Amino acid sequence: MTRLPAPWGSRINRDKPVSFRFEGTKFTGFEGDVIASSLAANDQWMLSRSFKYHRPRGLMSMAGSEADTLVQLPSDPNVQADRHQISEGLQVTAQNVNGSLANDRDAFMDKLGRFMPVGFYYRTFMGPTRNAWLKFWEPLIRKKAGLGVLNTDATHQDYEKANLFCDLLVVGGGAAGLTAAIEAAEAGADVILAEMEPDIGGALTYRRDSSDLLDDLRTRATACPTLRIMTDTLVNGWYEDNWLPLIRGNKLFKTRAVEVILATGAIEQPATFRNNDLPGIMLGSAAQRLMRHYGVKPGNRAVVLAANPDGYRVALDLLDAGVELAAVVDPRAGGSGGDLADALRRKGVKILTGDITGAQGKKHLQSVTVNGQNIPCDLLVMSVGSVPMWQLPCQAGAKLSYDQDHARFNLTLPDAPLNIAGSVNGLSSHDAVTTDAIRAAHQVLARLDLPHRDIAGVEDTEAAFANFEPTITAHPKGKDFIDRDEDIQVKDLQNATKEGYRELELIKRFTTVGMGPSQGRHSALATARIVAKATDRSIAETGVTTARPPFAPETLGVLSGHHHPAERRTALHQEHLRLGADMRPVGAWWRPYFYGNKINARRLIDEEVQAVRENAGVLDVSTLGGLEVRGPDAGEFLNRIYTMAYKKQPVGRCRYCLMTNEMGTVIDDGVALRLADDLYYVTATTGAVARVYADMLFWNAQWQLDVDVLNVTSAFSGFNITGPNARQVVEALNSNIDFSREGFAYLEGREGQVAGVPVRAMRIGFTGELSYELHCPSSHALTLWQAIMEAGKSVNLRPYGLEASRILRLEKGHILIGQDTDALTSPDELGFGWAVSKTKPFFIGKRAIEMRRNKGLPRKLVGLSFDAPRDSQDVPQESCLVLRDNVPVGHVTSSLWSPTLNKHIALAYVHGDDSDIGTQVTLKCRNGKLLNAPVEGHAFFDPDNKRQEV
Amino acid sequence: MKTFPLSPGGAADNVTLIDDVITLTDLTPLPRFGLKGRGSAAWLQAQGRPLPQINQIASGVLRLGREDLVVVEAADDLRAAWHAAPAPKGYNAWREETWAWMHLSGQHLGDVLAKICPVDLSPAAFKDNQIAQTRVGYLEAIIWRHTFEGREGFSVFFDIAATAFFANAVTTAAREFSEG
Amino acid sequence: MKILTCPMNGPRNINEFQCFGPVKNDPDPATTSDADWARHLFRADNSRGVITEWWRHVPSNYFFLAERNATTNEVIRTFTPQDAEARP
Repeated sequence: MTRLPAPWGSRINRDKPVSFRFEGTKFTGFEGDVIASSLAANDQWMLSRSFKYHRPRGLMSMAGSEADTLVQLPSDPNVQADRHQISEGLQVTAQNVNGSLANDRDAFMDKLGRFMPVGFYYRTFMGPTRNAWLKFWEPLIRKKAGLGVLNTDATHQDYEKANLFCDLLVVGGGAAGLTAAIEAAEAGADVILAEMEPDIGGALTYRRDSSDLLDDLRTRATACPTLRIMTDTLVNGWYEDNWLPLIRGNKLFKTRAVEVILATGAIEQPATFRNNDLPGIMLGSAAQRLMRHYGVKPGNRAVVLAANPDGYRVALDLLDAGVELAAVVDPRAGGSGGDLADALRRKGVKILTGDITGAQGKKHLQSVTVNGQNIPCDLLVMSVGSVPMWQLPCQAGAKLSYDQDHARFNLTLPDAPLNIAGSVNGLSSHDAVTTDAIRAAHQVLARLDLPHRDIAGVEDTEAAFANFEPTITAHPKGKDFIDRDEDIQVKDLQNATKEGYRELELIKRFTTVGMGPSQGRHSALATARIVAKATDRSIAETGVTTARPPFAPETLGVLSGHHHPAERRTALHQEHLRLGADMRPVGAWWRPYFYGNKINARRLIDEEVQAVRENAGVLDVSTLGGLEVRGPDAGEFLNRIYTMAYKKQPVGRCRYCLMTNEMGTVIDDGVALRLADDLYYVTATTGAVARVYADMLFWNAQWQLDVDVLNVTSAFSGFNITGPNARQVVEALNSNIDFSREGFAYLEGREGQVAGVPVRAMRIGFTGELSYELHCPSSHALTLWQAIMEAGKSVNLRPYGLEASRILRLEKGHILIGQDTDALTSPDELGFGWAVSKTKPFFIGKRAIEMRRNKGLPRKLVGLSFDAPRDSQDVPQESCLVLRDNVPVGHVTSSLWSPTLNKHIALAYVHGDDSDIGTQVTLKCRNGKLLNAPVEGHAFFDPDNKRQEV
Repeated sequence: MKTFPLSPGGAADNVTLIDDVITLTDLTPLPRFGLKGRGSAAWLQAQGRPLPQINQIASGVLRLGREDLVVVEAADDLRAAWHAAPAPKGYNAWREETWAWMHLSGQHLGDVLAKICPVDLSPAAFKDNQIAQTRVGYLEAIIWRHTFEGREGFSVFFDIAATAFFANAVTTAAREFSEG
Repeated sequence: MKILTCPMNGPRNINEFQCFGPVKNDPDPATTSDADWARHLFRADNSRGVITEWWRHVPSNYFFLAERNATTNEVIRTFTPQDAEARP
């Protein structure tokens, strides 16, 4: 392993060798090496096989974009070998290989290319049977085409998210970005500079004659207290109002910047000729990165294709590194390398005018064809032009245009607070780039109201030479790759236009050009040129496809961060656990499902139901939504919100609340207790209270009634004591409330004290039994609960859970909003006409309910019961269909076994004409069996309400 | 006897509040009295209490809206006076029952808050005694730059039923700073 | 993420807000025909250009109005319902 001597190799620590394995073979590199650089130093240039034709591929850009450098790590697929640093013992394998990298069994695919034109998939894999694609072709192709392998046993990692704020975010830490950031920070702005590479400097870290400028910028940057530099940080998108995701390792920084300067640089472009994808053919910047970052000699005998001054600089660099220069080839007609060319000539380098039409070699470059002659070489370096890094600017609304004179894409930005500077702005020389950055920084400073000066626009003496427009013609034998990720050749694009595709977005989807990991970074310009020529349009008209976030691949972990499912606990949470409750989440709330050992769940739930029916039970109803509606207009407000009338409701009385939306659909229910002329305590269903509260505020923002609404759901806890012996329990409480039959009638409400706790007591319930519901401020809940349990000792009061509560409510035929109702349910469909005021001039939904009533009743919720054994499958479960003439007309909304009645009971929507009691309806069980049952009322148990009103 | 979530037997009494790179202190049992609805501001002012601008605090009075105020100094006296007073006097906002009250302080205060609150809470952007009604720890919350017992930091008011959730969210957010 | 400026709480990320839709001129349910009422319920104008919408700042439960250009998504101004009449 030989490396170039320092100062080549700025990123490697030659004192720290690092060993790792690639394809099972041990390699040694240095700390700071990336996988590709340490392999190249060991003369291992092939990294992968290509996507479609399984051609040998190696590094081309050293900038982490093309699919060719993606490798597999044990727990991470698709890792960029030219950006991922090696570590001791790292196991790296090649991707997209059948067999081994050196001897890929699918390499014959290369010879079949002419049988696989673009659109091949769409045409070929349609038959022979209807589902052939899904069953046969797709799995086969996926296996052949697959990139890395996901390790589902990967170890857990934490992913973090944080918010960041700054006056100015500078994206890109090259000459432009650093200069702009320093200028702004020196004037007092709070600046963040984000650089995706491990060091700052951008092209200055590898470009010839750049170290003085870089040293100067580094020194100035260190002296700026308000400049935060974040390296290894990817800015992966631009979103409205300058909101940008910065990703560093496992952490996502959601960054809000007042101003943004995009100094994202430019992407060097490859040339187009036959076999331009052979290992050993690379961009000028890639050769420079190998030498200056890693001290790796990119080859022994080189040809340089130079269509701009940078090409000549690379040639000089190669000479300095001891690479033999076979020739410099300048494709520009009358092209001149100026002083740089003279310097090369003085060193005896041959400079040819002409073009490269092909390359030869099996697994590595062996020669290139220039002006019809083969020149032996193992390295071809291409410097033929670049495109501005357009992705982030275009996401932010920049327009890409084509400058015919300079053969390049230009970006024009919309208005501030966004700026571009440096080579992304079409500039090339150090002077021009830094001057442009100072201009951008001072424009930002002016808008930030910080000290600034006016900087004139810059002229770049080099920009005119930076790009070269080649004539791209398809090689008769092909393999002139435009998009290496997708194995797209010149003729593929030309053929797509012959198929009639003109629009780039469609050509992209038909050919898949630009759809690989590099997302058009190295293909967009050539594609535009080919398509423009083939469709007789200008390149500006052809354009590029829409750039969308993310800029580079990101992991799902980064997007997800920590997972925090909402969790709310009632005041009695620990008390329930102490009593052995099986706690389960219901929305955000944790509630007792039943009390006791899981193994006995069914028996315990039955016993809890039985306790309520025969003795007394207590349920924690604290999760019930609680609202206080108060003010002189409180009654009028409730009149408009709910379907019943509340203005004349006496203080100390409860009234049912049914809420409909403007379509007349039932959306919530509850109970309102009037505590004073101007104060109602209203319950809402657990899941809906947040929405009900917001809706109430919304309506009153429009009505402007003199009323205040407060959500007291968490502030109040509640316990429902229910069962034939419930009165014995409450009468045993130490209380100033008269709980007697005479003193506290059904649907009445009282305020008082229980065990020193302020309590709101209501005779309401959900079980159909004699019920008292006691509400209190949550800080007193434990005291109240303990008092209730103490008072209940004499009758063996039993706490019961949610499942028993569901059974009890269904036995009594009480509906659950959201379970027994859907987005269309009207009060009439529930048989709740009694709850809809006919005299009120207005309530939300009134008009719609009337209109729907005039249209007849399409369906109605009814009760159904089935005398099958408890575990029978021949019973319709929730969501089973109700059929009429074999056509679905409704469905089962609730279905449970009633331990009280010893049969299956259900609520279901049936056709409106079938809703009379006794009408036979047909249901389809989950097992497909059809079943007939007569329509019943909702209440299966105590339909005459003899038990709850005693 | 009152039981708060972190009291013995309370809903979150098995939760340990973090006290290393960041310190979470439960202030839920401290007195506070909220008034809301028409008449609240006038009544409070008539009691000689200051009436700050919305989203500001003055002498222990937090103003969250035109008629939405929370008093955290001498709150119990005020509550007694309010119960005895005739209307109009606004309505009880039950802030001692609806909200948990926690204080955050410590070495990594800024780092942790940047992870759990979307508002810029840096000293330059968010001054002492400033209030923001926003999200903290994935919950709707009120955050107030507040020095408690000499510890610079923030007080946060949020749904009392989410006490355990909030404490766990803060602990998780702080974890990356305590490791390594 | 877009920033929306709440008249009471100032500029905040838009995910702190909930949109309650364009301000509608509610017809009088007592005098409107069935067809017109159905139109009121089910037909949204979905117009281009500047519309006025109801928004709620969720953490503070504050309702306000915003004039927003539905084509460009630019928010022209936000204001309290009390200021609704005092349009410039």
